[in-house]
Amino acid sequence: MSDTSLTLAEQESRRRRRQTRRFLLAPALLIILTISIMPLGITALYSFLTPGTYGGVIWEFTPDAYVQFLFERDIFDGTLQFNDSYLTIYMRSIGLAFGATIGALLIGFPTAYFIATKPREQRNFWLFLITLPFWTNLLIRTYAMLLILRDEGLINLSLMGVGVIDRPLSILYTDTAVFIGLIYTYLPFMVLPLYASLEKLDFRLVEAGYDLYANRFRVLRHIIAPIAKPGIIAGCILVFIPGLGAYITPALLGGGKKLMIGNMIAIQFGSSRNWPFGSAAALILMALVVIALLIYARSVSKGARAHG
Amino acid sequence: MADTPPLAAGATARATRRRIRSRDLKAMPGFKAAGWACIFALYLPLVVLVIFSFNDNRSVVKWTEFSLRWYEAAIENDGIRNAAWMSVKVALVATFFSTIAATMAALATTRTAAFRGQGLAYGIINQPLMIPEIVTAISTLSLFSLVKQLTGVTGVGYLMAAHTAFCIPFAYMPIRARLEDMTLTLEQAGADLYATPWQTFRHITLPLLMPGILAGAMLAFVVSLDDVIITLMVAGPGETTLPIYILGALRRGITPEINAVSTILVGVSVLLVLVLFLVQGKMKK
Amino acid sequence: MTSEIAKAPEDTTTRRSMITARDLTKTFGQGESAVTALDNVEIEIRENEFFTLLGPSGCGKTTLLRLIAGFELPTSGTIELDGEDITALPPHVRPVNTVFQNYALFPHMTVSENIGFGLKMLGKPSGEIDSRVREMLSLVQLEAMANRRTDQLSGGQQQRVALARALAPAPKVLLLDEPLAALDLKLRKNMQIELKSLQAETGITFIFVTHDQEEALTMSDRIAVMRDGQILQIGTPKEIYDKPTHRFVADFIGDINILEAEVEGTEGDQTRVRLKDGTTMLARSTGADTQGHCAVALRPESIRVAQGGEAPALTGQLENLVYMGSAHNLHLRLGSGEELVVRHGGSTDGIDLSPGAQVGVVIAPGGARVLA
Repeated sequence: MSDTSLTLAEQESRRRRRQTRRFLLAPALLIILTISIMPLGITALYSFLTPGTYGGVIWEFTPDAYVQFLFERDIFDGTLQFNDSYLTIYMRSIGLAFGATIGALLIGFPTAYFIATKPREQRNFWLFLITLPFWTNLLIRTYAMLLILRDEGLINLSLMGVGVIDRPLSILYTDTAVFIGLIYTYLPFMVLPLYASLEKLDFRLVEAGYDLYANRFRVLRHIIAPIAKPGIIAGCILVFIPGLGAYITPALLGGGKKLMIGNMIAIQFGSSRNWPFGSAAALILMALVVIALLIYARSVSKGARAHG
Repeated sequence: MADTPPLAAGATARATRRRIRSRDLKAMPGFKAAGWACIFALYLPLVVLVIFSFNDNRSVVKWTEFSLRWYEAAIENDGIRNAAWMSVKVALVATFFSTIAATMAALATTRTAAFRGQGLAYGIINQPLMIPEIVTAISTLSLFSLVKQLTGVTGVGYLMAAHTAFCIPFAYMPIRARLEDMTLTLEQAGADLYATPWQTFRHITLPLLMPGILAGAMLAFVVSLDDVIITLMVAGPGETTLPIYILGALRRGITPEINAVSTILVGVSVLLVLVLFLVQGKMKK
Repeated sequence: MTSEIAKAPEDTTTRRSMITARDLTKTFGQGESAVTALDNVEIEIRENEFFTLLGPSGCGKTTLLRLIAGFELPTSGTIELDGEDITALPPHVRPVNTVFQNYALFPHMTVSENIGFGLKMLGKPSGEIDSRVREMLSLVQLEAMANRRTDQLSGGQQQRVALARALAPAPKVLLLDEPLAALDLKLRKNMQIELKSLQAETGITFIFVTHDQEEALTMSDRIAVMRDGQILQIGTPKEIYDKPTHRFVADFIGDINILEAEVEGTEGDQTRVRLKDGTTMLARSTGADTQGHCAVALRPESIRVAQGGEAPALTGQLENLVYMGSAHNLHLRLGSGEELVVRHGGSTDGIDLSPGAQVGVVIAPGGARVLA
């Protein structure tokens, strides 16, 4: 009588299944590994090389790229001076991404709640409505936002038409414009995970809360928010991480003056012809992303432990 | 019988009113307004764009009359036509290969007992969604330039390969969803009736999976059409896609033709997504 | 109670063996959470038999069926089909076809395409497939539905398509996994008769899985009663009903009274037992545990009220009297506290049947059996 040993037939069948699975997974895994993942190693390598004259790299190892991130070499006496311009860009990016996350949360939460409380048959329709803009071209969406924010754009015209202001507000090409643009871009990313969490909310719990003399605010804080917490965390990550690496939004709405990390990296591979520096900047960005993901992973597991 | 005494009638009305008010327990103050405002804000810019693409006037804000002249101008523009054709070419190739790869991957990872390395496989398949696009863009550029140096091979194949890679997770999602809705019983019935594993796949699994595969293909197509950053970095000269063209045109200044082209692109995306949603709705049965 | 019991068939155990399972074990999972679905099962199913696997859910009957079909591999043991070892063969090679519980009809094919699927997979020429499909359609009386899609059919029609589809390739064995479970009562009764005659007509060995003991008794040549992964008894419906060898089998099939008793000794082919209230009686020995504690099984219809001057074998207080039309069901409370149900078919004139009356009963010869 065997308990844990398998018949030869079962072992053979398992082996065949494993082989089939490997064969089926091969194309997708190979493509993504070679084109998206392995190159990250090349980027890491490049960050330690010397920039070529016309772009590309020269195979001489140097930590210059990383030094350049924080310091500038004085051309006359060769000393290193602290240069905060790149740091500023990173700080601005973190700030903007973080701010956009909060903004998206403040707008997205009521919206997700609104959809979750609609009758079941209608919900798919509302979700479709929220996600549809996501599938249109980001460039075009940002361009449309530019049309609204510019001096001759809808906002200024309507404000002036109503008489609230005399001259157009210079919204475009400011941090504010980028901020608005980021929220606009990533709002569906916040709403969807929030909705997924809120949909599971049993509204009898809410009724119980009211029944126990809690007012609306308390119900929100003590009953609804904790249940929505996984959705809140997921939504924040889905906005913050792409927001950190945004390119189009700051390029169009920041007008080349309000650079974010994405623009800076792109420039290094374009006009500045400094691939190693661009690679280093990209790796530093990746480090920030990893930190954010670790915080996310920790809060998820803490949440699991708290409820488990 | 006798009419309800007036006192009782009043009490009933009051009770009804109280019931109607308290039924709205679910609503939070201001949330409904916020919800509507959010949807309004999401669509307003796009709606403005579309409306003004039909504006006869050059101005992007003053409406004169309905006109299709910018659409005509856009279609006649060689740059736009070539860019559109390049976009479609790349999207078709990328869709083809990514959908096949995604279908195979979905078959391997769905409806099976947990296997070693499942999390890792999942992570790799979804990687393009997890890393900021700019990082993927420059890494891929670095890889391709290295390969070009070593082999001397150039061409639009690099761009197509890059698109294929990031289209895979988008094609994967609907296929996997459809597969999860299919129980294994039908395939067992096929095997019971003498179908070999390949025959079972061909006659049973594949026909039933087809709506999911189509949905995945459409999604991949839309995503490839709309890509900007990776294409910006990786595309060589002469490989301008429509979004890259629009980006370049925007740098030179806003023109109404851009509105027209943008509206067309948006229209195509919306149409495909609409079809996708309808197909998925039918699949749920 | 049950309607007709199958008329005594010829003894099927003289026929050649079709399915033989030896030492068959199937466990799911590993280590502590492992579940044993089948525990060293031995079974021999004969040619041209209507064989039923009967038992409550979780007893392993469906697992056994799936092992025969090939959808699962046994953890240990062997299965032979018509002399050939099929233990490791994949399902698409075994000449065995299944009628699934939810029919598993292919939704993207018509009725005809469904029925012809097996033959198509075997590579038969299309002319042969067409004529066979027509044959099957008339066998299950669905000629009018030939080109319908399967979701346009009623439950009963779908069931018949599933049947036709499984019979079309003329398998050696047909497996039926609770195929009548989803049908309403009237349809079910009709299908039971249809299935039975189909089996006789085609001569194919049917292995039928059900948890409904009435169904099993009505249709089968032989029944295997299962519980917890083991086969408790195999026999004809009459054998299972009249001579259960296991308390669970007796309890599961039909109504039965089970009284606790102690064995006192044997007298020929009878055993003398002492009941809880001290009364002794004779009961037929069954070869089950014949020492110490045992159970006495009595079918309600083998007991009747003592009349005239008959000496009662048992006496109890009448708690409930149920008039069934053809008989009276008396619920007596014995001195031991146990309940005894008596089906008295004859006249009740002259018997005191007032509530609380003391009623004596006599047992038909061989009506009492000793069980473990």
